[in-house]
Amino acid sequence: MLPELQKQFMDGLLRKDDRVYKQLDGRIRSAQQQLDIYRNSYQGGLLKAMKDIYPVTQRLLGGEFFEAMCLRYITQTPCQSLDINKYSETFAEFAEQFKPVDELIYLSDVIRLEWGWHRAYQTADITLEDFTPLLSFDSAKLQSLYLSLVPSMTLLASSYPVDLIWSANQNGQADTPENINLDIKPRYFTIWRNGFDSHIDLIEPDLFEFLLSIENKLNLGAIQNNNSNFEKHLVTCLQRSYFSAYHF
Amino acid sequence: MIARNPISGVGIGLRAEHYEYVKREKPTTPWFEVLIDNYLGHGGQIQQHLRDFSELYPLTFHGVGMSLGSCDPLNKNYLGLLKKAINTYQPALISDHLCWTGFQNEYVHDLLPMPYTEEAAQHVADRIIQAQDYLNTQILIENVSSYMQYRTSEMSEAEFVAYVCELADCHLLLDINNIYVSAFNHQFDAKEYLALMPENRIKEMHLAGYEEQGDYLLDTHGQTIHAPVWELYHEAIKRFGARPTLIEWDNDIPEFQVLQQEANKAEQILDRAQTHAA
Ligand SMILES: [Fe+2]
Repeated sequence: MLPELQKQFMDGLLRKDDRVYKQLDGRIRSAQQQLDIYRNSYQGGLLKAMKDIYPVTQRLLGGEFFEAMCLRYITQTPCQSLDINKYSETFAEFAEQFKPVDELIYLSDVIRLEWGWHRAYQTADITLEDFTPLLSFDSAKLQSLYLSLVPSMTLLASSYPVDLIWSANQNGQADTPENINLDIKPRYFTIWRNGFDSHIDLIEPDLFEFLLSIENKLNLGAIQNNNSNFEKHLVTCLQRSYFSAYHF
Repeated sequence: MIARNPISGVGIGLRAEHYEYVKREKPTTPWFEVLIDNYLGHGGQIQQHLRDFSELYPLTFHGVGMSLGSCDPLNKNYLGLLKKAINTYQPALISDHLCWTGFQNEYVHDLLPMPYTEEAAQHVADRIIQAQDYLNTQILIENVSSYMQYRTSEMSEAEFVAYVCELADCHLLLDINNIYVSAFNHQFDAKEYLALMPENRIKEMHLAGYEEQGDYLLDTHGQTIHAPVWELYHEAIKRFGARPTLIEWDNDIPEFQVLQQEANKAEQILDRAQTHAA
């Protein structure tokens, strides 16, 4: 009885299934009105969360348009996380398919950047493993090693200067992207947090490839075969604390 | 079950907007309630704030993540994080709501009322027992504001609340504003509701402001506490005696001093009740 009631309510709230109406006592207000109050509150809660995560996107689109776009997303995308801070992970992909913003070619990457920034801030702290034993490993042992990126890290490649658009819209400044030259070479970033400080590091394409291979769980032997600057990158990453752990 | 440190007087719900002010001015607020879900599983500055405030003030933990009324299995990951935070910070009280917040991995992040049936009471009480056993402490469950009523209900909300507390042997966080809002929305008598509450289980009360929405009241926590809620609070304190009381504010959050003024008003009501009792 109770599971069925909860199922019907969720279907009513999220998928406009009206089976739940017959479960509700409509003597004071109609079943539809009762459900609408909860639907508004649900959508309002997620909208508030998205406004907090995407201030730059909101500024680029204007408040009203941004809200309408979020509500469209919210209607299509039920919240599947107990932690509301994890909601809207797929908003960038939604934006890519969302016709009305077609002309804002950089928008989905700005969304990815803001999501990465939010994620970096929220992610739980971890203790970094001690990497000094690596120094004593012979080359065969190193080749079979796997590394993990710090969990706060997001890798982002963009054809647009999304970092410049992002910084131009911080601290109450608003710079229109028209003032930023969009016609530049692709840019590569790691967005991550070290202690209390979140970073957006602009990195070389080759280092980006290296990090991507690590994220894709290749061992160092496989990475070395494809990346001639392998050793340089390994040292850079260790110096910058990009890794959290290693295993074989 | 572990006995927790007692608190008294009128606390304030800690919000990010007031972090800096509270750290700088160290107001005389006797305790703060933290919305613990905002800290669980998060790191960096977020955790640091919790550490800082736990050193400055007694804290209570208030959550929505247990979803005690849901038919999903209890979320062990959430409970594990909560237990760790309880062991680290030793909050004076730990509370969640008498409601469900999602089903089959879809979450509404809202407090959905239970049908007031024997089946629902047994179900939610059983989960409260499991949670209390796991956390090794008694918890408080809070009565929620509601905007819907189920046809299948077999008892009143007040009877249901009292019954579940009894079945689960848990404590009660009596939200006075929520009683008033639900009483208005569902046309029941708030004072009769109070009369049914299990006096010895009430360990805390909540006060907040609602919003008028035409023919119903919405529990927005975005305004000062309304006159009829003060009146009902007065009534509750007269009936049950002084209880730790919290001022909650979640939307359009004003300067900290506005919350302090509300806390002072509640403090006066508590003081008057104590002089009468003496
Ligand atoms: Fe409350």
